[in-house]
Amino acid sequence: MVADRDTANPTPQVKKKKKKKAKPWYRSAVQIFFFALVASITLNEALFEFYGKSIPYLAAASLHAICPFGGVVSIYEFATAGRYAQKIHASSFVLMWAAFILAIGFGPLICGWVCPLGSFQQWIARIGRKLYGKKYNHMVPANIDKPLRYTRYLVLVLVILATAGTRKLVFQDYDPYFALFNFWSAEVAPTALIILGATIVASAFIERPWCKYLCPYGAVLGLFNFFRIFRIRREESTCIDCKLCDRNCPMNITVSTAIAVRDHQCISCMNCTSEQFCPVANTVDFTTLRNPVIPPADIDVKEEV
Amino acid sequence: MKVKSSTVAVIVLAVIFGSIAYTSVTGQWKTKTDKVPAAYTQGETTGQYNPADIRGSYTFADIEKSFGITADELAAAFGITGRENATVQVKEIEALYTALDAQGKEVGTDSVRIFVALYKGLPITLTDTTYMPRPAVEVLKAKATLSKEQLEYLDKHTVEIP
Repeated sequence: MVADRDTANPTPQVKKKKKKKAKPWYRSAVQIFFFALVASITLNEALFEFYGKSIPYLAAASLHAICPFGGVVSIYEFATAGRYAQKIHASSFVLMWAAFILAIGFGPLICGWVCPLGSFQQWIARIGRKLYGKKYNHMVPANIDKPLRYTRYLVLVLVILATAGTRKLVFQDYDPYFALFNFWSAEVAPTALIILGATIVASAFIERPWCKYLCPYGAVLGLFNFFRIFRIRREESTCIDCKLCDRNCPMNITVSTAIAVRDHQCISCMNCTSEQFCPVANTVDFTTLRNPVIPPADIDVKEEV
Repeated sequence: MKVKSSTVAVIVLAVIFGSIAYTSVTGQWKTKTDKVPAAYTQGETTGQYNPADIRGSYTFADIEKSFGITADELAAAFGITGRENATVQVKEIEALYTALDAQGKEVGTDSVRIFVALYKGLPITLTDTTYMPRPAVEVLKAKATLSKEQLEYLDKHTVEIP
């Protein structure tokens, strides 16, 4: 998933390791696993509904039952009436709490590692990167991009108010995630299909456009970036200012000038870390505290694969 | 303390599937509702099932169980034919009456909620966009005790079965 990213040589002065080092594949594996799992559960539900048959060992659940955002939009209904919003079940609440636990510790891991719509946009980004190279994901002017990043909080407020007011899952009619896995179903509103189509097209120019600008669940989890325990930290003394961290951040966060990343848009993808695109060992890490300082003479640059 | 992506992968899977496993053991992991509507919490009807909580996924058999209105009676009221009445889901009704959507008239889950509430003499908010098929109105007029306001509402909100 990462081979096409920007891996330009950072600086010639630093010595290189001779041995090539492959980038870890764990995140890609987790993303593929959850995408396949959600697709299988959706297929299972359809098989059960239309043919009365289901895939062995797989839960017969609806997409709503396994969506943690369903828990978030049901909080008001649960607090005032002791029940969930329409189509939402206890399982959504369980997953909502699991996502919160992960977010307190590590930030929005659900966005960067689990969400199938996020993964789907990321996979489309590979096409965009091939088409536009370094321009990809840097096409929206900063004066437009920056305020747009807060639109998702407005969407979040509107979704929560609308759900609280109607007890219905109002967001379903606009949800590209629901449309992605149920595009064949009459249950999907045309608006959701249009938004999904727009997200797919936009993903060819911008990485994760839905996540950046409109996702209400990303807005909720993004708030955990302000007080999470583990966060991306950069060691100034060993940083060679190559800006590979900035160039490879899907959310366009400027990691190269930060000591610790507190941006509300960080999705904990770990692209910027020394384990991934940062060429200097122990310089950008996912950690609780800053790294111990390493003398500049010992700086090694990893060779890219 | 530093974590690697391999550790994060394990943590993600452990927290998500650990939560599911734990709540499965404690009985809190439910991916389906019990198909039992919530009860009224205030007034004279406290403790009785609230028709406003009938969901689209409920079958006529679920409604029969909670409210005592038979699946056959519900099917006749809403013009369902050629089906095993007990297995008809409330949300299926909407598909039969889509032709009325353009006129701003809606026959669907809300119609069933209102039908059940009026049939059983339970409180419910009568919404202006919700309509009732003529057989349902006739059943209500024959079997339910309706107020003048409710009768007027039904007269103004009656549609023919397409």
